[in-house]
Amino acid sequence: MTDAPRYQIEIRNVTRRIGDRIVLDDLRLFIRPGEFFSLLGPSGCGKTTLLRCIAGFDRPDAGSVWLDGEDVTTVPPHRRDVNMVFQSYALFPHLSVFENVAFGLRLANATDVSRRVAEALDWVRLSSCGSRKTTTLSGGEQQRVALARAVVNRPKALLLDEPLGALDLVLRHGLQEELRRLQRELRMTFVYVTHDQDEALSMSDRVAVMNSGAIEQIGTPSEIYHHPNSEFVARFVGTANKIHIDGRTFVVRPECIRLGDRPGHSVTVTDVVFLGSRTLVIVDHQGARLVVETANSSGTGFFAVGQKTTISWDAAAMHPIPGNST
Amino acid sequence: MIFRRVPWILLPPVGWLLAFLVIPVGVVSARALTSEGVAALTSVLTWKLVGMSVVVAMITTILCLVAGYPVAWCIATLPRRWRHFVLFLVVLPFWANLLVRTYALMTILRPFGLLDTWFAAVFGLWHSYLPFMVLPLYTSIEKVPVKLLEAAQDLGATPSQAFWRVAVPLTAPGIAAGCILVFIPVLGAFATPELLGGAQAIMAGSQINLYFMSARNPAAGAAMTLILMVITVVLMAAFYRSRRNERLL
Repeated sequence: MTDAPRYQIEIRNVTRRIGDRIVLDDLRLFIRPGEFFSLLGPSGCGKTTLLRCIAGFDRPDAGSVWLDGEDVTTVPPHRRDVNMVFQSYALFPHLSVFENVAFGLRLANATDVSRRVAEALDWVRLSSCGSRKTTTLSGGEQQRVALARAVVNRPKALLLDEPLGALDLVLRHGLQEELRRLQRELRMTFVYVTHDQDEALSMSDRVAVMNSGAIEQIGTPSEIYHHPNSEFVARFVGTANKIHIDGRTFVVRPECIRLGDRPGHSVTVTDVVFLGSRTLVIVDHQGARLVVETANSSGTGFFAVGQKTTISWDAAAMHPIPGNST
Repeated sequence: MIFRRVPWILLPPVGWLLAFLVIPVGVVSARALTSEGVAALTSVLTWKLVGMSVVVAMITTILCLVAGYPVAWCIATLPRRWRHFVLFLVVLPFWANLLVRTYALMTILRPFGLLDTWFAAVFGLWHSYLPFMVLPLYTSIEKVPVKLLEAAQDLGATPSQAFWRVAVPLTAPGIAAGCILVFIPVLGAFATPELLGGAQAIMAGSQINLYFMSARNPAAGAAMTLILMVITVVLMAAFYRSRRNERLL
């Protein structure tokens, strides 16, 4: 059988200790070919270490890393068919934009270097910048050069370590779209490390939420958002209102709570936050702080601090949190 | 008001330059361009010795570079708190006078029958000038981000390719500075080749000493000095030119 392997990247029970700290704890993860996969978690959760284990810069203390059906645990980085986009870009300051992008091709003794570099610069819309020095580029441009330098080698997977972390919001949104477009056009596996939940939800096919060296939950953005399997996931991905009923804990998302228009739990408004397209109304329900989100087009009306009203939600909006929740 | 005072402020440096640079260089040049000086400038012996000195300086520079780069690299990758201590060890030999160290080398080399050879002269120069190579190399290697070497390997470079294609070009200013700092003093070196190389290894510096002290031919000594100065100035100019074009890290 010479079927294409089912998974592009397999992380099989990888443990990584640094000093006496366990950075990755018996972690299992399977990433499919052509998938936009995000590793989402707070800083220090091990997501970057995991990425470095895939790239080969870090070696697991236990377990194995498989790439395209092959065990690459002990293979050095230069012989792994994956490329990385670093958070700080890591462009070579002594080389032009063109030579930065051509770096991998020249090492591989590729024949059509200039055509492929031109093509890659075209993907990231920097066709006219080939001869410039990288130090004269803006942050966004540098990031796109780093992207071109990685994808030009047509790796089996592209590893992105918070690639947009250093950019401002407008630039981020633009580059997020470009990354998605590039990933669809090239049908390349992207492994995207981020601590930004909006970024992970909006870009990914699947997301793994990580917490202290372990994966809390893997699923599509919608599954992660609507069916968090732990309080950590519920709180890390979006805003979560925790509600206890009969000794069980449920999570209700702010946009699923209705304010005032029908009988329900009586609450007091404690704060109103205007956000442009929507308004957050913070209410107090028997001492518990709940966040309610209302679209500003829905005509729910104006709420004042101190006002008494009611909240209600559909049973379907209540997501049980399994296990012990503290 | 301040402009009036500027000349007075400039007096000490200008005086210093006049007394210790312009006047001596003028005297040397004037001596070198007398008839005896010109005779020395055009003699085969002079150019043979200058050529020898250039070759010795080049060999010493290359040896220092080859030995100094790994040392500087290792220091730059040490944990931060160790780096200063090891750098201190590198400059520790300076605490002993050069002559003392050279005499020490003599007693080491003599039993092996290596004293009074070219080998001894080059070995001594290598030993004396290695720190001048290590220090600028260290400053420049320390500034190379590890991420760049990782990026090179990620793109398919073996560790040695990453070294040659990324680390070496990025540390070029340090390499140039170290080479200049070793080459120029070795070119005019006198004591070390004299003591260790003996009669076999006569370099321009020894010959200049000979002209001035025993041969009573200061014009020939001045001529040779002028040649060494010109070589030095040309090298320094080339170095500053290259530095001006590169502002990498």
